[in-house]
Amino acid sequence: MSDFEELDPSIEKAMRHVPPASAATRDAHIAAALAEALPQRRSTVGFMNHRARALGAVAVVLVLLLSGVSVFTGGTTPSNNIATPDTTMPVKAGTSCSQELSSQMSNKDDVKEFTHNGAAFAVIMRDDKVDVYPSTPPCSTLGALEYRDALAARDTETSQSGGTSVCSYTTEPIARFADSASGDSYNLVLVQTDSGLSMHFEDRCDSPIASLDLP
Amino acid sequence: MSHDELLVRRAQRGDQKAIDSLLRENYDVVRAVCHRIIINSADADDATQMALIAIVRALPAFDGRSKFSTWVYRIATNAALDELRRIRRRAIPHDDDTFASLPVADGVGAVDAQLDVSAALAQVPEEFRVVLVLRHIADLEYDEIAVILEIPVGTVRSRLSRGRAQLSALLGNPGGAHERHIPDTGGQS
Repeated sequence: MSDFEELDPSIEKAMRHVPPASAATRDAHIAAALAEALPQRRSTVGFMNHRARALGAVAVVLVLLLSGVSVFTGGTTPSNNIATPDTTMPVKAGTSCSQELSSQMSNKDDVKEFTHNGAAFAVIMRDDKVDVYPSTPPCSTLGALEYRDALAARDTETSQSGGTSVCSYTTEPIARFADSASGDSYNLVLVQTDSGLSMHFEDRCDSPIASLDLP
Repeated sequence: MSHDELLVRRAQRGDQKAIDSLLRENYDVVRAVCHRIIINSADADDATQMALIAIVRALPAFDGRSKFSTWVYRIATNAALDELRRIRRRAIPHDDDTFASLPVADGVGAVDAQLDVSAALAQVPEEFRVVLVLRHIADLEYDEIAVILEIPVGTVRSRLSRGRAQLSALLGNPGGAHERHIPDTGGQS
């Protein structure tokens, strides 16, 4: 330390030693903060004081767990993100699905719109998958491109050769983003095809890692 | 990309597991900063809660220009200072139960030491206490503390010096303070 003075080590040690919170308190605090990341709950928790918010968040988590929804699992289930609903969303009159999706996402860039065969669609880049919605209500998921297994498989490859280093597309990709399974992060590209959507590693154009046909 | 960078990136994309991991990894230090700045246990827990919420809300805006831990300390410090302002507005007298709710750590001696340093810190002026916490709990460098508190580095240095001297004196000067006179350079705060 380059201080002008030193603090006695015994004092510093005592300062650092804050008795740990109970597991219940810690979990309640974290659950309440996570509830802030659940966009559909923001409006309700905003009126509570902190302690009530923590209790409310615990209740929310318990309800979700009891109803079979996995919030904090560390397993390999590809879809355990409850940040936004996967099925039908209530949408305000005059609001498009993409607007609604965008309003629920912390990162607006995670929602993209595109047209296919004259119909408008929206995609939302979630953790390990891309969900596809129509652009107009009812906002029910049409399907998903799930690619966690592909990322995990690439993590285990002994050789990390990237195939072709630059891919060209006949149309501009809908989205380029990075994601990972549990190891390395990879650049991914979501492109439109004649039949729908396909997902590729950005440095490997040869075969898609996920695809979805659209009407 | 480091583990932390990857975790932050995933959390910024709304990955609940990543956010949960980030909060758990930083929980103890956030709580320690809040408890040592605020002293009162219940208020410090409120500040801890607000800091965690602020972290989640601000995650999308974290641009990586500072270390994530420094960013977390800044948020925790601001949450603690906000809570102190709220406490002052409430004008509640000193809470005699401040330490009663602290769980026993490891025997009577440890509790006594805990009470001593908590009580002593409570008597150190807030402006000194905050820099003591950021330096000795958060392990931040002077320039990082200066950025967080928006004060000159010289002021950080002088407040640390005075805070250490006061804390040592309140605790019976264990080990003796390596006293030097440090002028309050750049005094504005």
